[in-house]
Amino acid sequence: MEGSVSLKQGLAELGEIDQYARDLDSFRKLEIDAERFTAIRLQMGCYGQRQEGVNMLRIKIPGGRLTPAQLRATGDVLERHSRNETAHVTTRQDIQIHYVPLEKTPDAMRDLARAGLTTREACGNTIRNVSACSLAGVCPKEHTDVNHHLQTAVRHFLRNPLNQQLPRKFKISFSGCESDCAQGMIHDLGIVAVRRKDENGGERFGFKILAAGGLGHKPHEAIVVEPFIEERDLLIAMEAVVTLHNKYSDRIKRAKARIKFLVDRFGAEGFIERYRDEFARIKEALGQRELPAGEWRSDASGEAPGPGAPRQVHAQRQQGLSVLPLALPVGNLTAAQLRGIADIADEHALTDLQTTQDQNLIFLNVPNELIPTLLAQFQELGLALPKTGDNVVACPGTSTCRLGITASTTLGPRVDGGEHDLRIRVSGCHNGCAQPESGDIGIFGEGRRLHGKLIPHYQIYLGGDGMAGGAIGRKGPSVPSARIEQAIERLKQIYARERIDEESFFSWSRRQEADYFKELLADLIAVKPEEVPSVLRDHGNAADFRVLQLGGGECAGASQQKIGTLFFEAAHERNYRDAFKFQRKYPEALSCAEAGLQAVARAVADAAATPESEDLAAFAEALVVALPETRALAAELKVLAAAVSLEDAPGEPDISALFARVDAWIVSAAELCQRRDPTLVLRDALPGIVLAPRPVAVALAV
Amino acid sequence: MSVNVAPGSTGLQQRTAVLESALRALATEHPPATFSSSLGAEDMVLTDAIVRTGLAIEIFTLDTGRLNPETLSVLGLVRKRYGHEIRVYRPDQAEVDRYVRDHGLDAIYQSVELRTRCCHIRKVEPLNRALAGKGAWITGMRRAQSVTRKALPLEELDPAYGLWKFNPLAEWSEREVWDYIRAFQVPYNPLHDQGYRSIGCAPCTRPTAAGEDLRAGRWWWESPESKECGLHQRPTDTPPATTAEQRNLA
Repeated sequence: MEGSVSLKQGLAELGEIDQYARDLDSFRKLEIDAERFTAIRLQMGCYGQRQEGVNMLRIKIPGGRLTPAQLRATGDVLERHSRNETAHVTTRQDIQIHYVPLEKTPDAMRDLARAGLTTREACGNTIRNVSACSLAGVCPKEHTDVNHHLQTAVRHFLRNPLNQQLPRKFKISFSGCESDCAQGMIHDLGIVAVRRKDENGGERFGFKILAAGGLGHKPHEAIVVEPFIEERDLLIAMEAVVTLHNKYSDRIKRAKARIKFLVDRFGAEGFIERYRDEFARIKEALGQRELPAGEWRSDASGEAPGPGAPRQVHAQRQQGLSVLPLALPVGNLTAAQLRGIADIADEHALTDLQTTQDQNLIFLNVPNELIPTLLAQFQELGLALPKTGDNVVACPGTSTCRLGITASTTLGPRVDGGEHDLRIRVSGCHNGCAQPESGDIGIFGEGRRLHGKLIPHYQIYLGGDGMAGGAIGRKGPSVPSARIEQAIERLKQIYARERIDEESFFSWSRRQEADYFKELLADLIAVKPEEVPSVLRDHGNAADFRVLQLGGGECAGASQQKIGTLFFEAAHERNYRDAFKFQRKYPEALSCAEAGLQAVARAVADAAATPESEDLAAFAEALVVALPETRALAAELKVLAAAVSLEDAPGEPDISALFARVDAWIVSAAELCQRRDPTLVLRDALPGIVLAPRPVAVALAV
Repeated sequence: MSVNVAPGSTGLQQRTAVLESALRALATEHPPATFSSSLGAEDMVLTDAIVRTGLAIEIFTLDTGRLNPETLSVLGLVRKRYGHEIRVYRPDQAEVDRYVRDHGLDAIYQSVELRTRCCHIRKVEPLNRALAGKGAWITGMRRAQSVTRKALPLEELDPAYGLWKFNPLAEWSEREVWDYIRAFQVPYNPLHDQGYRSIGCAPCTRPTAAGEDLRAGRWWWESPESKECGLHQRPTDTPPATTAEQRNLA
């Protein structure tokens, strides 16, 4: 299977972990400052926790697909390097290991790398783990196994300069059919495999591209930027949307930096227009060759399983095989369970496992006759099929997260979805990691001051569904944390009583009047002065509620660093430059070289505190005046600026010689910047270091 | 210090532009187009041009089962340089087994008839499969390569296969081929560095001496007029000579 081949190849790179270990060492010797090290650490998927000295490692699992050996390695790392009992499956299908002492993080990363797992770009201002619908590859309803396209995209963007210093994080999902179980609507970029009829009555397969959706602060449903594109153009469309984010999103105001705010700024039409411009340029540079095609099927049929894992054993399109889901309480698994699951898989030669958006684990390609045996074996590990009511997702909240406001992970196991198996989503703050706005009932923690006291609350969202035809949940009332279980119970009861026929919670909640829920929960919302003591505490907490000010979370990544961003921009232009040169489109290559020089000149201006200028020759002169030591650098910049602005582009071999000189100049410029600011880390952005597997076509060679 | 921005060899640039536009035209006018590569120097020029232009032209080669390992290594070089996979067609193993059983592995040296029979099994029959359903067939043949190719046109309707056959390098010299390879850092068969100028199956190819004809190392025991494997038969070709002096080297 193609997917498994990619999994075995792995995404890890031991060299960069060695570099990380050296950086950690420098940090401990106080040779680099905390802020720079934080940026390095986040790029390698390592977060700070509320607790000093320990960290959370986030393992990136593209599409959630992993092998038994990888699950075992995760269990080993948990036991060997963490003080925690459990690893945690997230709604982005990552697995997180908490309580790893900082000094142990390089070894933990190495152990994961040996199993092909990486934590690289799992945090920070990067493209985060790419998620997929749970049954990709086996779903009776899918048009194609999107794992093929997803793995290609992951390899394309991982370590790609474009993706090293985005204005803010970026989340992508893939779905195998129009149902969109991966919930493209709530993603920065949602890819949906679609079928459409062509003029001749035949059918064509391709993708729909959604962009600029997102939860958290100001939830936003995605807009459609492409109703249909050909499969071969998929990576180009994806890179175009990422480029829009990189180019236009706000790098100053972090709260406004997600791509969804660009739709407010430009309007949907303006957004799409800019997307088209980027698409055209990228297609010119990278789109000459076709993506290796996936396999498309025209006999798709049946029901989509819905977001997250199927809730019971689910028949695959492959005869005689099934999907077997295991319920993980709020996504948690012990080391013994991780290894036990891997052992059982090996015993029966099962190779395909997947984490799901609802924090469960599923076995794929299970022969039907094996199911009773497996269930008995899982029972010994304390694991079983999902049960009606346990469709509850919760983030770690105040247990470990620096942003957490309430104890979502304590509350999670105490609530249930009742007889109608409602999807309950519990987030410890408004950032939306548990995807509250996509649940039937979703809640997030917040503090509200009443009668002079800070009282923990949960803001309720109702009737959310990120699939096609769904919508972001309606904002309901906010209820004190101490009463949220009552509130959820009441909502379930009323729904059970008032639903008409088989009406879904989604439809039921959406046909209620605007104030209906406020009135329904009025007694729980209102806090009388004498009731204050009863609502002061959050779940599992013996002390009165307070919100720890930890100086902001690291979720947003380290602060934006202008010089680094510009060097990565130059590296990205260099990739396009070389792609154009390869196609012998020398004038285009030359203009990319010029753009790269412009970006680095701006970085030098910043480092040298000289004014920026688009006129590179004028800038070179100003630079020498400000910093006499830069005479050689400035002189070379003048020569190169003249060469790259020529009307007639040289051909081979002169253009290669010219570009080699441009690259050498960029390395010298980086050295200057690093002399001025020894804490700068520019090495990944410099020529000679192949970060991305080069242009699309090369990246796709499997 | 100044950067030399003078255009390189304009001859090379012009040839390259002509080549690319020829490829573009044939790919548009006669789809699906396919390119049979022997993995030799000329074919590497075409491979480079096809990959760079990104045209929808399939590149395939015939692995006869008797190629030098160096020749096969070119598949890996292409993969590494371009991320492109050359499609490989192989002979029918049953046919090969029968031939070897009846005549021995190296019966090729015994007679032109037995040699062309071997060529037929190992090259022509797989080629037939590779060309089935295609609209255009591109080759890297040049006029200067041999007496059998002196009248090679740039394009012709191949009567045997009933499809358009294009020889876009027909007018190129060997020197021009190597200029291109050096200018664009095109990977090539390492045997070229060992004195092999035209490369086929291992038992039927040897290096050429200085001053010798380019294809002198191919079926070197046969006379020049018969030195074709049957892939490129044209009505004007001299029929294979059977009276040529034969050296039995088997």
